[in-house]
Parts: sequence; C-alpha cells; structure tokens
Amino acid sequence: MTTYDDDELAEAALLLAHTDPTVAMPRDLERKIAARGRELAAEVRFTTTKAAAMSLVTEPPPALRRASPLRTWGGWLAAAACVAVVVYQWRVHDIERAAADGAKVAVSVSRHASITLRNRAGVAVAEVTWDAASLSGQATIAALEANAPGEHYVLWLSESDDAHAIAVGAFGCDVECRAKAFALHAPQSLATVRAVWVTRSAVTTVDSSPRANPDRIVGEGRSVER
Amino acid sequence: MTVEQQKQQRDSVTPIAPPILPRVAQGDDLAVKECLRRYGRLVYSIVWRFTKDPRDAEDACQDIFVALWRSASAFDPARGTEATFVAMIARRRLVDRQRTTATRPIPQIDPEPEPSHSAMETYVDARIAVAALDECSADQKRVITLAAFHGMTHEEIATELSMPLGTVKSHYARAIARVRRALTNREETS
Repeated sequence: MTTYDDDELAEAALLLAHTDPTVAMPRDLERKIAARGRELAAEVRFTTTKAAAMSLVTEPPPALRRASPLRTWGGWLAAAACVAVVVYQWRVHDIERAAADGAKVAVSVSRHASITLRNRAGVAVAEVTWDAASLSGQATIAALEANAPGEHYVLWLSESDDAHAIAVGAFGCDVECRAKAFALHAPQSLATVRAVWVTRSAVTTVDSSPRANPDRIVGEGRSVER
Repeated sequence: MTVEQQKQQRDSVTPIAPPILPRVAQGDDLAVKECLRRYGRLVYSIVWRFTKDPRDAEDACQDIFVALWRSASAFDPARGTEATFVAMIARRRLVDRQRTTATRPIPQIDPEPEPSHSAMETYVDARIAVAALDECSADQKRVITLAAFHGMTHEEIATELSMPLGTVKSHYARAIARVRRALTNREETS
C-alpha cells in the first residue's frame, strides 16, 4: 500500500501551485492510457479499497490468526489421536470401510466453491465460482436492476462471516445487468470463499462491511462445496 | 496568514467535485476514465516541467497514471485534496525516474518561479502553499523550490547554491514546516 507523509504533500502542493494545468495531453497518449486503465479496471480486484485493507488489518481472517499455544498443542494431540484411531481401524475394519472414510475426507478438504447469490425473495441474482488452488474465480451477474443515479454495486467476499468480508470491487449497471461476468483474483490471505454479498452503495462512500447497511444488500449466498 | 484569513480564502473557493479516487480504488472503469479526464492536463503539465522529451513524457505519463490507479486506495481526503495527491504521485514517479536515469539532464532552474495563475484559481492547496511560501526568507524559498520542483537532493542543492549542506537542511526544514502547518491548519478548520 502506498504511504506518504505531510512533507511530501506540502512539496506536492507547491509543485501544484507552480504548474499551469493547461497543457493538453496528446490524443494518442490519452487513448493509450485510457486503454491501460480499462485493463486495470476490468479485473474486479481484491483488497483495493481502504475498507478492505482496514478490515484485513483490524480483523484478520481466521486463516491469518495466530493460534494460541494451547490450540497448537491441541492440534498435535488431535492429530496423534487420529493416527492412533486410523491405525486401529486399519487393523480391525475391512477395506471398503476405510475407502469410505477416505472419500469423506476428500470431500471435506475440497476448496472449489460455487455460490449462488439470492435476493430476499429467493431469486438468484448472481453466481460466484471460486477455485482455491488457482486463487481465482468468476462472478456472473444473472439479473440486477439498473443503478440509481450516483450509486453502484459492490461485491464482497469472505472466508467466514460478514465481519471478515472484503470489498473486492464495484461495478455499475447503467441499464439492467444480465449475464455480465467479471474475473476475480485473490490476495494471498483469501484461500477460499464461503460467503458472498452484493450491496448497493453511493459511489462516494465505502462501507466497512456488507451488513453496515443491511437494507442495501441486494444478494447474498453461502458456498456449497463440491 | 491567520486562521481567519485562511477560512475566508477557503470559503471563496469554487465547490470541488467529489473525489474520484475512491471509485477508482474499487475498480470502477467509468471512474478510471473520469480520473484521466479530470487530471490528464495536470499530470501532463507536471511531466512537461520535468522533461521536454516527448517520448520520455509519454512514458512518464503512462507510468504515473498506472501508479495513481494502483495507489488510489491510499488517498485520504482528510489529509489533502485529491489534486495534491495526484501531484504527489506524479512528482514521486518523476523524481524516481530522474534518479534512475544514468544521464540525468541538468534542470533549467528558475530562481524565482511565479505561481501559475490558473493553478491558483483552481486548487485551494496551491493558494495556501504559496501564501505560506511568501512568508519564507529568500534563501528558504530557493532551497524548497529546488527540492519541490526539481526533485533535487539536499547535497545537489548545496552544490547548486554554493551553500553549506547544514544550512540547506535547516532552510528546507523551516520552509517545509511552514507550508505543512498552513495546509494542516486549513484541514483542521475545514
């Protein structure tokens, strides 16, 4: 994240005062920069908003939290117990039972999520697919009405609950949005996605959480692991 | 300048459009376009102060706008206006480019640069900064001008002005503190 101090701002204010902002940028250059800007904006990016950054700083997602010594040892003890149970079962149960247990484990660690967001009436408004292995996914808007003037939609993702949600980007619907898709990419801290929200918000404000203003939630969903 | 004078100066300012950078930070493509429309001339004009080579100016402009869009989430309206933030990102990238260029051109230094009439009309921070600069001594003005407009290091300024390095540092510290205080007071009274 870019940081700056007041001295640097003061120098910039002086530079601003002595710069005549009337030199027009050449059209070709403007087009090139605009094209580059479209590329950057095309990706609904993670942790780009201040709210998202603050959310990560003040409330790290569960995956980033430092475990207490008790919890660390608890994990080892649990692992040791599991090994003992598995060895015991391996000796006393048949192969089919062991295979069935293995299948359950495979399902529980799957991190490929598909989340349908529904509005209060239960109608699907969007779908987010997420692949933890590649830390990427896609959001497809099924049906969202046009934004009110001065508003846009904000997409939020979370590993757990709304307190850890990250505003990953905003998009506008000048007319009703249907089948509009965005590519999603993750920060390292977001290994999986379990909950997604779409909220309406004024373009000039940044909420701290999707539930900061529940009336503005237009769709939400939880993951169904495959 | 007194707080009251600053307040009067602020009150006379034309209303400023809502900041665009928070929307840019959220990946809003229309905001990215609007940002370029709003600050294209300013950035290009700043670049033109640092380089007169069209090719270099073109590269620098692209570099600055990418840096600006990537830094958009860092903009804090409580600390300064958006135009000042844009100027700061532009200046930072230009100084970085200047310092990494092996054959650095010798800047054409204007010892007593005049504020831009257009900038003074448009940007409130510009007016406040110039008012604070006017209260500095002639030596302090020369030092901070070379630092702010040309990105010169204290050592380079000492050589340019044939002044002891300690004196340059002292002049710079006093002048920048004066400008900083004026901008901070404006923020506190707004």
